[in-house]
Amino acid sequence: MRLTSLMCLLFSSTLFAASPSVGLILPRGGQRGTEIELTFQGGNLSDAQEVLVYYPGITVRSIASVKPNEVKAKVAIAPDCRLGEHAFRVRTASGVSDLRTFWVGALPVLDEREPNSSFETAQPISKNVTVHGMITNEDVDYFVVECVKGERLSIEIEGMRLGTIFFDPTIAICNEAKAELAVADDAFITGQDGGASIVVPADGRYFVQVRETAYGGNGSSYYRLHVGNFPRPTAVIPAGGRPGETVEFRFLGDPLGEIKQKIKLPTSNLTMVRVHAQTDQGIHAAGIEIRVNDLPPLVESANASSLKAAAAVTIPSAFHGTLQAPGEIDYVRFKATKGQVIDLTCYARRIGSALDPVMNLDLLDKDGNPARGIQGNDDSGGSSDAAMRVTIPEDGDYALRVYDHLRGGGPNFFYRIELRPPESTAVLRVPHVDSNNRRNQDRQTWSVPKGGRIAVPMLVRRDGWNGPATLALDDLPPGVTATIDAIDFGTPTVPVILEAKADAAMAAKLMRPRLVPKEGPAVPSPPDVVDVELSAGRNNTTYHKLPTDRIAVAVAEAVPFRIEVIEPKVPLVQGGSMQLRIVATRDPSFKGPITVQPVIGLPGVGINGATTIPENATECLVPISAAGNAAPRKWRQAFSATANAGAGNLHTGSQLFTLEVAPPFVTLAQQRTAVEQGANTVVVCKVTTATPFTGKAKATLVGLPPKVTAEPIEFDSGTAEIAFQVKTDATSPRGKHKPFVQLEIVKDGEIIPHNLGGGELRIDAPRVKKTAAAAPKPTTAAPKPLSRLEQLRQEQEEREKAAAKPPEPKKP
Amino acid sequence: MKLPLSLLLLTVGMSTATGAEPTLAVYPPTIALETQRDRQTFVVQFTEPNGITRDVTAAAKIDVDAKLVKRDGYTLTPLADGATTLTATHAGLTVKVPVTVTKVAEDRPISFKLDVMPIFLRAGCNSGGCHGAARGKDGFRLSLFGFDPDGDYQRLCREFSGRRINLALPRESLLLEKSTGKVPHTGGKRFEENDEYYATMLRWLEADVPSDAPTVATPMSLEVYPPSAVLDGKGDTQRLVVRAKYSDGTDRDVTKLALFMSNNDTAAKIDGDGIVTAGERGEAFLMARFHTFTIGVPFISLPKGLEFKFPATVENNYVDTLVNAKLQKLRIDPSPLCNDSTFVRRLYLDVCGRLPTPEELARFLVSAVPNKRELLIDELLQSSDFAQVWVLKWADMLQIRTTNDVSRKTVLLYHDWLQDKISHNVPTNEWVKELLSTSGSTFKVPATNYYQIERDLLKLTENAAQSFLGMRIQCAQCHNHPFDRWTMDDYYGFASFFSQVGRKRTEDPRELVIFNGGGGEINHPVLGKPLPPKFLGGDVPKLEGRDRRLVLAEWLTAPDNPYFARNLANLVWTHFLGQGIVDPVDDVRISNPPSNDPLLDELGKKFVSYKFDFRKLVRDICMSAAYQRSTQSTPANASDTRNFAKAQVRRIRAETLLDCIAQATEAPNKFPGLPLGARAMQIADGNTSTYFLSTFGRPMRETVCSCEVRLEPTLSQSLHLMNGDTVSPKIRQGKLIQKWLAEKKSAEQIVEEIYLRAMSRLPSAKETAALTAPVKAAAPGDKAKVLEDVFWSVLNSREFMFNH
Repeated sequence: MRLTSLMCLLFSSTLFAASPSVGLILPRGGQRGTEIELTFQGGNLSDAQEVLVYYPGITVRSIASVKPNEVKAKVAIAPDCRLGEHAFRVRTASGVSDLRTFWVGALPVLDEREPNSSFETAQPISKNVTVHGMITNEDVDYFVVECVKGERLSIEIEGMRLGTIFFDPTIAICNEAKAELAVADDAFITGQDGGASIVVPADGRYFVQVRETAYGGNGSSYYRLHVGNFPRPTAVIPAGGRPGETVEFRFLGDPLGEIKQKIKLPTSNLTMVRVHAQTDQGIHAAGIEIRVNDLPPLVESANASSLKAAAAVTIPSAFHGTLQAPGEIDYVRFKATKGQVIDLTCYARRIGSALDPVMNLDLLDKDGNPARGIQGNDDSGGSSDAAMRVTIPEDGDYALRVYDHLRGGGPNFFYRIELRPPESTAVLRVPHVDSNNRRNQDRQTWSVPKGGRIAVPMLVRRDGWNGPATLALDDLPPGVTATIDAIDFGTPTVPVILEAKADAAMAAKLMRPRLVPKEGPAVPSPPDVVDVELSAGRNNTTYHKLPTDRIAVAVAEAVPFRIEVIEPKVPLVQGGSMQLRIVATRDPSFKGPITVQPVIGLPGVGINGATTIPENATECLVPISAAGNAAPRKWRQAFSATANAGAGNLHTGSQLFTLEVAPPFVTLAQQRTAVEQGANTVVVCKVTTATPFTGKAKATLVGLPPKVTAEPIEFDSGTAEIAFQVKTDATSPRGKHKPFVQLEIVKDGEIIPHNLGGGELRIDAPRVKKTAAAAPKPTTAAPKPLSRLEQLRQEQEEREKAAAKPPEPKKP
Repeated sequence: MKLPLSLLLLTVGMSTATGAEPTLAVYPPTIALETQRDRQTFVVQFTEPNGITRDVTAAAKIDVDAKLVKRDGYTLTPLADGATTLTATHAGLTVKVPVTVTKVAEDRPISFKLDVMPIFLRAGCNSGGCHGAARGKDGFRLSLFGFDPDGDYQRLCREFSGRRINLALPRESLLLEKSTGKVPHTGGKRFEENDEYYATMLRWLEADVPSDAPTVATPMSLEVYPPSAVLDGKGDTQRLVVRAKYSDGTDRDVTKLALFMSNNDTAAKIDGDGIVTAGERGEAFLMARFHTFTIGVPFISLPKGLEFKFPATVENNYVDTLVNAKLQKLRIDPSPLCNDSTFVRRLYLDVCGRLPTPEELARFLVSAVPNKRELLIDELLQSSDFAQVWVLKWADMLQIRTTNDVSRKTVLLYHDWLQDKISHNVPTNEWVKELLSTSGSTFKVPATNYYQIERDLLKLTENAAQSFLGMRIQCAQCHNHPFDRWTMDDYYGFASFFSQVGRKRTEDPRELVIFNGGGGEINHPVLGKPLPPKFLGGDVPKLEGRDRRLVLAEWLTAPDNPYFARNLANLVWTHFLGQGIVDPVDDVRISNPPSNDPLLDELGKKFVSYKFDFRKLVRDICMSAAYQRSTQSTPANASDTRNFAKAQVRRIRAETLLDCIAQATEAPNKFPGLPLGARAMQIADGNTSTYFLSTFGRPMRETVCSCEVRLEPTLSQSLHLMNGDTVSPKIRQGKLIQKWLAEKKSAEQIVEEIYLRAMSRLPSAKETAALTAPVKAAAPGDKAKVLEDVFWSVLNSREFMFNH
C-alpha cells in the first residue's frame, strides 16, 4: 500500500495521471439505515480523492484507493434515504470518473449462493429480504420461502435498471408442485424488470425463480430480488400533484386491495417523483412515478366516460383518470377561444400505466354533441404517450377524448392529462463525443487543470421563446471562472471556457447550469443536462439511462501544455478560405504531439476536424473555408487540445476567439470565351467592388488546363474590368474548361483569399479551310422501295415456291 | 371408440366388380345447341363388369332426329329449333340423351374474349416462353395465359397502329401471317389457313376487330367427359369432350380450344385433340385447361387382360375401407401388417420423435393383451413428447426464428405460446383463429408474432394460403395461375384481408404492437385499384367495420371451410405415412389431385366432427392397418408409391435422428438456451443449428414451405455419421460399453443391448455371430475399443437411420 503511493509520487513528476473511469459499483445496492463498504471498479483510480454523491441520504465516511483500478468507500445510508437509484462519481487528482449507480432498498440484503439452479437445490430465504445475485449464461436461480395462507407474497427485481449491462430478467412464483402461480417478465412501472404479488393460497413452501428472459446472462448480469410481504400496487390516482402539497393517493392493483396513503410531495423543482405505497407489511420497492408541478389537479368523477356528463376543466389544469374497462372512452371538456394555443399532454406509459393513450379533440355544437374533429394523436416524441399542440380554430366548447390504442381498459390504465398554454423551456446538454457508443461517458465531466483552462461545447435549445440569453454556471469550484458569450437565438452549440487559478484547491462541484433569457421571465432549469446511458441492447439501443441535471466540474492537477489560437485580423470571405495559426506552449518535460480540434461546428464554415502539432513543434495551421452561402456574421469559437502525457489523454483548451464571415470585397463577372488551339485570347472579368481596399489586389486565373497560361493581374480598388491574356498552343486540350479567379487582397498585413468568377473557356480545333464544292450528282428515279413486311412476304413466297413439297401442316 | 382386435372387420376377398352389370354412358349427359354456329361433340363409354371402360363412340349405334340436328361422326350441329333425343345403343344397352336446339336463325356475333383469346392459349401464343413472357417476344407481348384480355386487345389493335392488324386487307394482317407462317415467325406455324382458328381470327378481323361489351358472358365452369376411365392395356384409347358453361346460361363445346395435359405420361398420354392413349400400368390425371379453369379426370391403365382377386384384408376403421377401395380399383393388394417390434419402433418415432427404450420395448413385446397396439397408441398420444413433435412441425410452418427484427425473447414467447396450445390440446381451429386475428404487443400477446415475423403483405397472404389451406398462390400475384384456378382477382381479393394490419413500436425496441389499422389497401396491378376482401374460392364477406383478419380467420377455421380441415388432415396423414394424399402437403391444386379423394374427404370430415382435436385423428390413422403395414412389398404393389399399399421407408428427420443418437448412446445434447439433455426437437429458434442438424436437413424456417425439411440422404450425411463429431464422440461420452463391461456382460449380451437400443429388436443369430467374432478375437485390453466399433457400425447402419 505504502509502496503503491510512493510509486505514484515518483511517477507523478514525469507521468501525468489521466482521466479516471469507473465501470461498476459493488454491491449493486444496500439497505437504508445501514453502513456499507462500496467498491468502485475502474481505471486510473490510484489518486482517488473524493466520491461525489448525486442525491441526498448517502454520506461517504471514508475512501481508500486499494489498487490502481479499485477504490473502496465506506458509506452511511440514512434511514430516510430515498428508495431507488443513486448516482456517484469518483474524483481523482486528474479528473472525475463516469457516473455509476447504486440502489437503495428497504429490506436487508442477502447474497445469492450457488448451487441453486433447480427446485431441489433452491436457496432457503426468509421473507422480506433483498437477494443480491447474478445470472450466468443459461443460469436459473431458485429461492424457497415459507409462507402462510392468506398473506401477500410479493416479488420484484432490479436487473435492467441496475444499469450494469443489458440484462432482461424474468421471475416467477411456483408452488411445491412446481406449478407457476405468477410469472413476471416486463412490467409497465419497472420496464424490463418485472414484479408480481399473490395472496398465498395455502401454508407451505414457495419457490421464486429468476432467469434471463431468453436464458442468456453473463458475469455482469447482477440482480436485486425483493421477496416479502410488501404491497405492490400497479396504479396510482392521482398520478401527480403540486409541489409541497400533501396528497391522499389511492394505490390500486395490489392483490390485497386498494391502499390509501397521504404523502407530502417535495417542494423542489423536480417534475417526476416516485411515490411508494407503504403498509404495516412493508414498502413497495419500485414505487410509481408521478408528475409534480403547479397545475391545479382534478380527479376524474364517475362520469368521465360519458361525453354529456364529463367534467369541464379550466385551462391550465391537470386531469387524472382511469379507463376502467376495455373499450372505455374518457372525456375532458373545456372552453377555449379562437387562436388560443393549448398543449395537451397525456402521461400514461411514461409513468407506468398500461394505457397506450390516443387523444382526439372535438369541437362541440350547442347541444354538446361533437360537431367536428380538430386534431388527434397516438404517439409522440418517441413514447407511446399522446401529446399535441392545438391552435383553437373558433370560440366554443371542446371535448378531449381519451382511449386505449388497442381499446383496452382496467384498473392499471391510469393517466394524467396536462392542459396548459405552451411553456417556455430550455434544453442544455453536454454532447456525447462518441456517437457510435452512447454509453461512452468520455468528456461528460469538466476537469479544469490548475493554472490552465478547458474549452468545452454545450448544446442549447429554446422551446417556446427566442431572443438572446446567457448561460449561467453558478456553482463552480472555488478558483474556477467561466467565459461564455451571450447566446444568440439560432446558435445550436456554444463554446464554454473554464479557467482555474494556479493555486485553486483540488475540489469538485456538481453544478446545475441554467439558461437565462436576457429579457422576459426565467425559464425552468433543464432536467437532463448530462445524458448518462447505462444498459444498451442490440444495435446500441438504450434500455436504461439516468439523465442528470448536474455537470461534475473539478479542479485537477496542471497539464504540461497550453494552446492559443492566433485570432485572424481579417474576415473569412464567403467562398474563400484561410489558415488559422494555433500556438502551443509546452512544459520542458513534455514533448509529445498535441491534437487540436474545434469545440463547436459552425454552419457553412468548414474547419479541419483534428490537426496535430507534431512532437516538439509549437504550432500548426488549421485550414478553414467558408461556403459561398455561409451567413455573414461573427462567430465565437475555441479549440480544445488533447495529448497523452503518460497514462492517458489530458485536455486543455484555447481562449475564445472571433471568426468573422464576410461577403467578398470584390465580385467578378467572368465572360465566356472561346479560342482555337494555338491562338491567344482574352478572358474579361467585370469587377464590382463591395468593400474598397487599399493597395493592390492580385488576381490569378486558375483551373486552366495544361498548355494554357495566363499571367496574374494586379489592380486597385475601383477598377471596373480586368482582362487575362490567355495563351494556348496547338496541343492545348480541346473542350470546355472552367477556370476561376483567385484573388488576394491584403488588409492589416494579412491576406484575404477570395475564390471568384468562374466561367467557361472553350478550346476548339482550328477551322478547316473550305475547298470548292463538288458538282451535284444527277438523280435518277428509283423504283418504289418495298416495305419490310412486303419484303418478308416476298421472301417467304419465294421460299415456298422453291420448296418441292410444302411442310406437313403442324397441329397446334 | 375402442375396437378390440377380435371385432375388427375382415373383408372377404372379392374381385372388384363381382356381380356388377355392364353399363353404357353418353357424355355430355345433355346437349344444348344454340345459334347457328354452335356444335357439340359427344362420347359413348361402355363399362365392362370388371370395371374396364371402352370408348365405343364409333362402334355404338347412334340415332338422332336428322331434321333438327346434323350428325357428322360424333359432332352435332343445329339445323332447326326444337327438342329431341340422341339414342346410343351398344351391347344390348341403350342410353338416351336429351338434345335441345334453339336460335338456329341467329348467328352469335364474334367476340374477342370468347373466341379470339382462347386461341392464344390453345396455340401457345401467350405462354411464358412466347409472347406471354414479361417482356413479350420479338416485340409483341400478350398477357401470360391471357390474364389481361383488355390489355391484350390494346396491344393487338392500338400498339403500333396498323402493324398487327390490317382492316383493309384482313388476310394480310401480321397477326394471321405470322400465325400461319406466311412471314418468318420465331414460334413457327401455329395453324393452317383452313383451320377453324384461322377462320375465327379472320372473322374477327373482318368484323373490324370489335372489342367486347362489358356485359359479355364469362366462362363460369368447365366440364370434362368422361368423368373417369379404366383403360385395358397399352395402346387403348379414350377421347375426351370438354364443355364450358357461361354466365349467360349458354354452353359451348371447347374441346378444340382446350389445352390438354397428363400428370403421368407413362400411364396415359393425351394428344392435342384430347385423345388419351394408355401406357404402362398406373394412374394418371388428365387435365383440360380453358380460360382460367383446369379440370382433371382420373384414368387408370391396366395390363391387358389382367386377372385380379383382392385378398382378405384387415380393415381396422374407415381409413382402411377407403384405402382398400382405392387399391381394389387399381387391382393392387396391400402388404401384410408389420411385426410388433417394427410397430413399436415406428410408433415411438412417429408419435414421440424418439426410440422406445429397451424397457418400453420389452413391456410391449411380452404383453399378451390382444389390443395392445391400441393401448400403446392411446398411451403415447397422452405423452408430452407427442405435443413436442407437433410443436416442432408447426414451429417450422410458422417460421419461428430470430432475425434482425425478431429477438430471442419474442421467439421464446411465441414458441411457448404454441407449445401451450398444442400440449393443452386446444382445438387447432381455435388457436389458428387466435393466431390470425389477435392484436397486441408481441411480448404480451405472443400470437401476434405471426405478423412480426412476416411483415410483407403479399408474403403474409401467400403464407396464410400455403400454411393453412395448403395452396401455393404465389403465381397469381403476377398472372393467373397456370395450373390452378387462382386468378389475380382471387389473389388480390385474398391479400386485402391483410392490408390493414397495423404495426407500431413500443418503448422496447424488441417489441412490436400489432393492431387493426382500420385503413390501407393493396392495389390490383392490372386494374390499378384495390379489390374488396374475398375468400379464396369463396364469397366477398360483409365486413361491417370488423377487423378483416378476424373475418378471414372465422371463415378459414369454420367447420364448413372446404380446405382447412382437409389440409390439416393431410398434414397429419403425411407425418405418419410418409406420403401425403395430396403430395407435397402444401401444394393443393387442381393439377396435383389427391391420390385418394374420398379418404382425404373423410379424414377432413372426421377432423371437423372431432371438433378439430387432432389427437383423435392421429389415433384413427395410427389404428389403421394402412399405417401398420409392413414395408415389404408384394409383386402387385411393388411399383405403387401413392396408394398406401405398403409402409414407406422414411429417413428420420434431422432433429429426431440426433435425439435418437443421443438416446441410444445416453450422451445428452447441449443446445444454446436449453438445459443439458434437452432434445433437438425442443429448439425454439429456427436460427439455432449445429453441423449435424444442418447436414441432415433441419429447416432454416426461411419460408413456410414444407420442402424446407429435407429428408433426402446425402453423401455428407453418411460421411458425417462415419467420421464426424457426432456418433463416435457420443459413444465414448455415453460410456455405455464401459458400463456393460463393468457389469461383466458377455459380447453377445452387449450386442443384444446395442440392438435393443438402436434397432428396437434382437439381433439375428447371423448378426450376433458376425458382430461378436471381432470382439472375441480382440486382446482383452482392446475389447472396449472393438465394442465401441460395433456400436458405431450399428449406428451407421441404414436400419438405424430409417423409420421402417
